[in-house]
Amino acid sequence: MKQKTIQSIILEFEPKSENILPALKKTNAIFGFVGEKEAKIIAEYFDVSESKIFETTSFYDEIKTEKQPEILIQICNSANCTVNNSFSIISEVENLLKIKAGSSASSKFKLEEISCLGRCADGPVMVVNGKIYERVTKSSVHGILGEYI
Amino acid sequence: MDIKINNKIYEAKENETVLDVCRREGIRIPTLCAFEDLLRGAVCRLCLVEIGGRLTTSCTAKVCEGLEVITESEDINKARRINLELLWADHAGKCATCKKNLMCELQKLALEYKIENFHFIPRKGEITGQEELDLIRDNWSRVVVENENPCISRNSELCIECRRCINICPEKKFGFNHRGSAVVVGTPYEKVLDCSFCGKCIEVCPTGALTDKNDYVKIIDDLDNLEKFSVAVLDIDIKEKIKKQLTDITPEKNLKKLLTELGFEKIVEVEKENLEDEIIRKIKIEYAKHEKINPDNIVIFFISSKIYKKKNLGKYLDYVLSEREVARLVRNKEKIGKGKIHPIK
Amino acid sequence: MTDNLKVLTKYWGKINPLRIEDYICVGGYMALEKFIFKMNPEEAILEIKKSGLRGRGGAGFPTGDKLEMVARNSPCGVNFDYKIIPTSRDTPQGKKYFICNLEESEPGTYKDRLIVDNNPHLLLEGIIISALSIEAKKAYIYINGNYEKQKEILEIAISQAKEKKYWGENILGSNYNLEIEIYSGAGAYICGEETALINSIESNRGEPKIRPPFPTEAGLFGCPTAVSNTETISNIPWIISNGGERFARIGSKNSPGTKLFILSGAVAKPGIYEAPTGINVRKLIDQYAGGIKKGKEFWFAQIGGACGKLLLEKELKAKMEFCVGTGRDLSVQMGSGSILVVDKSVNIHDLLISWTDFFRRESCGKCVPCREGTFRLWEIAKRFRDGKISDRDKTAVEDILWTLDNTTFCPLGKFAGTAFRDAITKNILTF
Repeated sequence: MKQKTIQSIILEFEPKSENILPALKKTNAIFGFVGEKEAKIIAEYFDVSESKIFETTSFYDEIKTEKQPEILIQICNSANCTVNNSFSIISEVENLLKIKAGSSASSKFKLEEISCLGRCADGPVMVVNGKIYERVTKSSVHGILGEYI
Repeated sequence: MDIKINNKIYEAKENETVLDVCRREGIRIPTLCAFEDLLRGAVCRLCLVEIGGRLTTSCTAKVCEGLEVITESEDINKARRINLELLWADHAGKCATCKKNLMCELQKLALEYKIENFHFIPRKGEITGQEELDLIRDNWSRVVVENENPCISRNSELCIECRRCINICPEKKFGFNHRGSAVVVGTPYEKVLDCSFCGKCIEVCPTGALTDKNDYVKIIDDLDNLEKFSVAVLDIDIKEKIKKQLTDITPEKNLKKLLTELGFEKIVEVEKENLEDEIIRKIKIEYAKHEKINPDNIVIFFISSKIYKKKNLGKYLDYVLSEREVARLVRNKEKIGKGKIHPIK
Repeated sequence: MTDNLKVLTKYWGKINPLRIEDYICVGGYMALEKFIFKMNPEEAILEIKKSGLRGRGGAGFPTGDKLEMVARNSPCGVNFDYKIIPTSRDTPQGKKYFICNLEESEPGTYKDRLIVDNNPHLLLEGIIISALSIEAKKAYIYINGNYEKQKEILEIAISQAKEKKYWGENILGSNYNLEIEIYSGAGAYICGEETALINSIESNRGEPKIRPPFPTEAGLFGCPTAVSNTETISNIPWIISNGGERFARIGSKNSPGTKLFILSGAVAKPGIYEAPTGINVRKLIDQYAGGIKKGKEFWFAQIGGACGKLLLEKELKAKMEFCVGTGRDLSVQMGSGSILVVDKSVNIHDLLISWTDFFRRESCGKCVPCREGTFRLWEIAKRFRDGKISDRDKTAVEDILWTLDNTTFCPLGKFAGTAFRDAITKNILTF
């Protein structure tokens, strides 16, 4: 399939201000992030400033402003998952991959602590490259990460 | 309509805010985000007053008949102190070397409210090396310093996220970026600022986050250098602006005298709009010839709010100094007393 | 009234959520028909007012009052004193909006997701009635960006309902018209706050707006707007069908109805239970969730999500209500209805970091006390964990909690310190 261009993505949206966020989400879904070049084209299309596009983009978790590492691991550390030991899973991943949560030092992995995804009955919850894993344990972490490494 | 402020009756007009009335009547209310007519975001939470026993931001509270407002109380003071202290803790606190020293709104308020301590951050000795590193990393992860554009120095370390620059910029170059404690006011994708450099953002910035860009060491060297002939070309409206910057230090002083003390050998005034380029050229060519001065030794300072002229320094023009920069030079001179100015390097 | 009355979950697991016929079979869309053919908007709002229904998102604002405010407010074009920044160049004049808040990112809360999973048409019927009652021409469903599956379910439900002419032009042959659109959020807790949500649909940063003007006067695109929580709206069909007075007799007097309670943590049967309001916490834990999990010892319970209060064992008789302090009996602000049971094996320092990290991350960053205060609390929580707490930290915590409580821009900031404060005052955490 031919790679979609940013131009073809935005043309799906009417140039009304309420369509900016959906257009950003779509761009993010296709490119993995909304880069400077895309932001500029989106700003021109919707006739708003680039700063407004970046303000909005950088506000929301789901839209990224820079290229993401190959493997993005997100672990919920909200109260319910914490009660189910999500902190031990965070340190397990930190030890396993020799990275620190929140650090962008590694270009291959990134570990993020995230807020509740509403799957509290099945916590702790871990997300790897968008795929959600529930009831994660210290031992199951190894198997899950094994799928990606 | 009549409203009561601190048990005294004041006249207020429809649509005014409590802050508007207080400012008109000279009732002191500190603000860091509300600036003149700029959009009021109510984000600094310092202009709090008590209305009906509750803390409310005076910048957004509209007046109404019979309104009763208290502007000083234990709670109001406490709120202002804590919020200021929170800002202060996030601020760099390197006032002595800051370009905005003594002209910084945050610094003035910190003095007024006696914020001396960093209650919110641990002191040396209380933390281990690693933790200190982590702390510094946390604090620095959101700092953006940019000095690559020709006119404006930006340092988000000094920024208090008041949004004035965002609201005033006619070209909408700044944004309130990211979220929560990671918020940074700046350009999209942390790009080098590229605009028409009207300088309005510097005018409104309460701290040293946005300042005039210049090489002060070189400026002072040039002013002090006896071989150089320093000429100040004063823009048409600049005198009043400089005086306004200096009211708290030298209310009476004669501007020409001040400039001479700074080391300017000649002062030329621009008498008509936009004649500066021609005047500057004439000084460098005709005046130099006439006075038999080597044009290379003539240093021309255009003293003006048109900071965008910094983009085209070169052939004739050597420096552009804004009213703020002149005031800073004067202040530093006053501080050091007589003799040559030695900047803190 | 018995405890078994189910307003919301009656057909969960009994009907196929993907088939509108199943819903119609059990009396679905009868309330809408009643509204269209036998009532006028004022009467519908009166019923909702009589029901005493309060917003289930957490704040507990009376739903009928909110709808009435929007209904009475003339659409756009009214002269407001406040400086409203035009957010759209083509602000539609003469419009009102109804928004269903399905952002649901309160930690420990997933009731709205299950409403959509199990009975999407109940919600949809509620949305249509509510929107028509305020004469809105357009209703938005603002859905949490992570709820992809639920978005699909709703899309199916919406298209089925359109075919049956339950929405669109000339609904069921009447003069009513309504457009429905799903708007998907992009991940930000604060967007559950109504003005932030409105900002988000306008494609701005999801920051709360200055009030006044309230959304009921000048909301989405500057037009009068009612924003209601998904669970709240799902009560509307029952109220229209059975009458407000009957609803008002269910549960607690000051906040009537049934409520979805989400029990999690150290309980034997974690999950969602529908029970009348005013029920006490102990009963929910013991009778609904099967008591404390075997081998665990109760420590405290957190009520209503990240900004919820903590209750000790002796306080579990507190009733779950929206208006606290009005009755003789002890009650607790139920918020979103979540109950997190924390047992003694949990590391309180981890939990403290969890709470503070949440607000540090989810604060919009707009006002000083919330942006800076939550960040400092998080730092202090980390020092707590490392045993490095100093005397100054104690004063700092007191100061920050005070300023959060008294000076923040929006309610999120106000409640950001609730759990921390309770942990200290109730000696769960010792300095």
